[in-house]
Amino acid sequence: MKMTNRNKIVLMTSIFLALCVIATVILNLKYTINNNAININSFILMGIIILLSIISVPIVYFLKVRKRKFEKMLSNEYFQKYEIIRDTVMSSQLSGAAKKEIKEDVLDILISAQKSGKAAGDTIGNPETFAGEILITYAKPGRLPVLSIIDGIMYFVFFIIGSSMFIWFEQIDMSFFETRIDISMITFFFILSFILIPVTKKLTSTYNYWMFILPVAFGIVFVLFAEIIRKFFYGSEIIRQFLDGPVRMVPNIAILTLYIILIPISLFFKSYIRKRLLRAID
Amino acid sequence: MNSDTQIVKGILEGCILKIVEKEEIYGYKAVEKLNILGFEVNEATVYPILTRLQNKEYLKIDRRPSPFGPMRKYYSLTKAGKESLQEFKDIWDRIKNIVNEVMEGDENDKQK
Repeated sequence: MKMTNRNKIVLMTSIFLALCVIATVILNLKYTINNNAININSFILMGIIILLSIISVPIVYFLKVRKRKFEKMLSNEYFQKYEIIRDTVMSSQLSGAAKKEIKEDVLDILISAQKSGKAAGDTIGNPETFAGEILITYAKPGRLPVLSIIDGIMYFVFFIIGSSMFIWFEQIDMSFFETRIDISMITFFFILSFILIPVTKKLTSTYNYWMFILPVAFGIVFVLFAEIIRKFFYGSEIIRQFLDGPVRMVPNIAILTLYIILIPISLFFKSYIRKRLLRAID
Repeated sequence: MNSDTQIVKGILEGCILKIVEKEEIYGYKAVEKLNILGFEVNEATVYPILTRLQNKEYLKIDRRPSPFGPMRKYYSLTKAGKESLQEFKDIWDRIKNIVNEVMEGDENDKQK
């Protein structure tokens, strides 16, 4: 069965992102060699990044694009509707069990309707509206997105610890707590965690499948923006601090412990708030 | 019948509870039954109602494989569902009587 346009875009975006990362790593490697700053750890680190980039494409294919056992039973017309419902539900703040249950229910309903000869349009109508109606039965509109803030905290912590580890691995002789991250990078992680990821998740419910390019496009725009202000406004102290002002985000063991503890606490609160919101429906 | 209005959705909820009271039913079958009764509804209308009734614990579910493959959810009525159905019947009887009275009054006015 042919791949839908939506899935083609998803796959193409993941390939493009992987190529961008690989190109950046190669350019960085060239720069490091030219400055005689290369060491074995840099090689290993860049090798790992390239390997992860390459692996990310089949991962996207298997997790997002490949049709599961019963999804193959749907015709293209039905599948196009189903994948919008599925993606909307999967990117919502419902629990994993609720998402799985809805996916199975919708699949059974659509397969039954298809077997009876009904057109997909007559069965589902607008798939976005349908998915929205289902989500409303779990919590009032506008309530579940509150949980995106907790997700944002977890993403942000993950990015900070992850990037600190990468930086430390490159200069393993120094203490982990001496690693510093540029303010521009912290800003990027903040925007990514609290704005870009929730917005992209929200947009996956729309027919416009070009939204999958949004994270990559934002990354490119951010880098371009940083380079333009570096070229024209680097004389300004604020710009210099923004671009190259390093901050120790994990300065000691206490802060590291706090970051690590924050993840289970966030998960607990998320689960608690979700249950409260579910009880709040009438 | 336009199934988008809140009043119809409320009526559909009551009718679904009544259908489920008579026999254990799955989503697609519920749509078929309602259409036979004349509601002209599709899956997009009925499934969210079933989910809402399940979340309110008016319906309990039993999952079994369908003849086509994926797991199928069969709905049956809970004690709370039976109470809700009774409540719906009482409200419906009251509204039906009021509406009939209004309509008959209208007819009488016209005859005068």
